[in-house]
Amino acid sequence: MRTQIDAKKMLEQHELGHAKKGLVWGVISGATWGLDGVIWGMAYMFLPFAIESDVLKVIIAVSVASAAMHDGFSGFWLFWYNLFTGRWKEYIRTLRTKPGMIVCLGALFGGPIAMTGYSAGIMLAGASYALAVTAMYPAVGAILAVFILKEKIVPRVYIGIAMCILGAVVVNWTPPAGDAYPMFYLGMGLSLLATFGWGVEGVLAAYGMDMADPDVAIGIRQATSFVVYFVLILPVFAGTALFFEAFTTGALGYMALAGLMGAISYLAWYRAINMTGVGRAMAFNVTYALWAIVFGYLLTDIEITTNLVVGALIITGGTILVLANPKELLNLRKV
Amino acid sequence: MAQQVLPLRFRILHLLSDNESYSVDEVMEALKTEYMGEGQFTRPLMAVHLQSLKAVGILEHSEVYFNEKDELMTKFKITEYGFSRLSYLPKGWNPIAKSFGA
Repeated sequence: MRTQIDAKKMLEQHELGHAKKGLVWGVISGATWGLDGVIWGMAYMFLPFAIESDVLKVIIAVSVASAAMHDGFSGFWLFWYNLFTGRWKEYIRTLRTKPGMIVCLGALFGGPIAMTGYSAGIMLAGASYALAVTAMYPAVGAILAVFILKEKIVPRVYIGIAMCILGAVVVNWTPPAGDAYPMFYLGMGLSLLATFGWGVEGVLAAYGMDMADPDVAIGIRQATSFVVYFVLILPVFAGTALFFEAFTTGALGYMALAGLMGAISYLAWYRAINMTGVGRAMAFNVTYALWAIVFGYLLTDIEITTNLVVGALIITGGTILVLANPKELLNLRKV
Repeated sequence: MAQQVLPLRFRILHLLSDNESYSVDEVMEALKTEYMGEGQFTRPLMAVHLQSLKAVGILEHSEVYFNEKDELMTKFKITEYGFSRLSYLPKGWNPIAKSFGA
């Protein structure tokens, strides 16, 4: 007859197997987000996004138009997924709760603010470079948590933050050669908007967002982002015409695919969190900076400099230190 | 006025706010009148929700045993952190127990 000890052992083995599968989902979340950024960058080869201009107003108009498309398609794919899995009613139910409203507030930071900066960064500096810098958003979140949530920072996290800053400097030190990205530094600066926006969103998650079904929450988040873009941001920044024009060009297919990769990345991220824990899931997710270099090399002709690779590795290492104790990350028995 | 239907995960949390332990099947049985017929109300998805709430520290394993079919069964109960999250439930959905562990 099987005993209580047998049951506990079997549960431990089950959880270990679960955690290992979760690592795979974590890798998928990082890889698909890296691929998302690179495909998004490829959409900029097509009109109306392929506008060569150094006028900030034009740059912002293009950025908001493509970001609106990205989040719109991402929300579209997620809605169909949630509909298929019988959760469409959860959208309204969740919006009627405080955590649901916090998701919407977080969407303003993670959507229009962050994604516009992200979009501009991809356009002006190339996906591989922009994604490298944005990967330090957990470090920004950790700093903001000190002020907003009164959290204390342990020495490991300080070292991680310092590594992120060092890595960002290294990435920015030498832009890619040639004249493909004449506004490289402006692009990297705007990428920091994404870092800030996602960092704030991470802090807001402390206010009950972990109660919500993550697949529904991300669907609401992307839908909120798209609605705010469509109703407010596009008209204010003269991006509406560009947005609609993009549906008639080759950019459409790339943005739809980028949105799909983004949706898959978010879904994979939450599966990884469920199966292998928040620290490990996020640690694997931020490897997107490295995946963006790989996919950028395979799919585009962007110059991959030594500085980019070294800087991205430093940022990734620093972010992992911010997220968790490396010894605990490696111990799959502690999920 | 009828209480609003909560999102399923919120309702799971409210159910477990009595500080008792529940298995997946017991949660399904307790909530079937409210969610039966919905595509999301399946045993596999319910197991995912419970595991997910455990992953974020809202629930924890309380019992593990083999049933009569020799299948591994687990039960979940709310943690102190999870009990603190009950303040985010909408009006009209007060925790069943007065305090954690009560």
